[in-house]
Amino acid sequence: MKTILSIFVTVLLFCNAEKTYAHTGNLVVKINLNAQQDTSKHLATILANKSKYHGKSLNVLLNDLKVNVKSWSPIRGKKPGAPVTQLYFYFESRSITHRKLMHDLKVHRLHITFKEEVTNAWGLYIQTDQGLWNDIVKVPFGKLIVSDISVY
Amino acid sequence: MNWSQNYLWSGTNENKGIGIFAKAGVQIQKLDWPDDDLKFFLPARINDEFDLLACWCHGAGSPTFGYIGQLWKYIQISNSVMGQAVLVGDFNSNKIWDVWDRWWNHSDVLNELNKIGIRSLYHEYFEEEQGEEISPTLFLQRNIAKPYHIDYIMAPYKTVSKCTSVKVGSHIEWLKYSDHMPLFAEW
Repeated sequence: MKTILSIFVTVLLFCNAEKTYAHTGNLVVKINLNAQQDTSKHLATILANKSKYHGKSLNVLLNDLKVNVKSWSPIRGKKPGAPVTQLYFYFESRSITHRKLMHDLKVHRLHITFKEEVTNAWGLYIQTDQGLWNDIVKVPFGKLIVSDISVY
Repeated sequence: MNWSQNYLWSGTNENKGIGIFAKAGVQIQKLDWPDDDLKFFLPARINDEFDLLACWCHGAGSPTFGYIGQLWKYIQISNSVMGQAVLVGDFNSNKIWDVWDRWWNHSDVLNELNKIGIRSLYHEYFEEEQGEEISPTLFLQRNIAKPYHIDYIMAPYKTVSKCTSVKVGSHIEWLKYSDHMPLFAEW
């Protein structure tokens, strides 16, 4: 099935002036290229100025973001059960992001490393219905001190 | 030691890798399954009766496909030959660490193995759900307050149905030797 889906993506990926349509199985992902490029430029600017955010709370970065975070996921440590100190933040729905990742399409993702452990990261992951960005995590995550930022 | 005379070893060096150690007289023949340098897997034919795949799912320096991702990749390239194999070892993985933004989670690997008829002996025997294991196989940093279940014996369903005993070693007996507890199975 995966092979078939990959072929769909390869064959049915086409462009017009502003949009790309990627067929991923029974889901058609409509990608606004202008918005994609805007997000790419914006995140590149964030990355270029990342020293501004080092040592500051995540809220400082979130306040500067012009795109809304939609979802997140914890990055496990080297050892099972080791403290989580890194998170991914995404700007599209989980279903669309997941399909894009599977088919190697462009996904905007912030990779944040914190100075301290993200307390109860896995518990919060479950509480947020597996990574929805909502009030359950906005407050505790917003207080965490940023150590490093990467952009994909 | 007598038990260590009959073994296979695969790894970076003699101190880091994975081994299969058997009693004298047990035939262990290394198999040449494709592995694309994934770390660490050691396939062997045992007594010409069944195939055994020893696993230590390592980070392997991979930013994305570390740990259980190594086994997921291994299955992609070797599933045609491992349908009757028993997989044993440290998967470094549990369903509790599944995340939505990858497709090579612990549960994804279980689904892949299930497709070729391979299931967890522990879970079938004790009728426990993945991620809800009662018996830990790892005490992180040898701390009994940090229990995890990350070691598995996965076997073809015909083996599962013949299984007469599954046991996880007690930390009281084994913690002095390792942070991992041994898994025992008889069929």
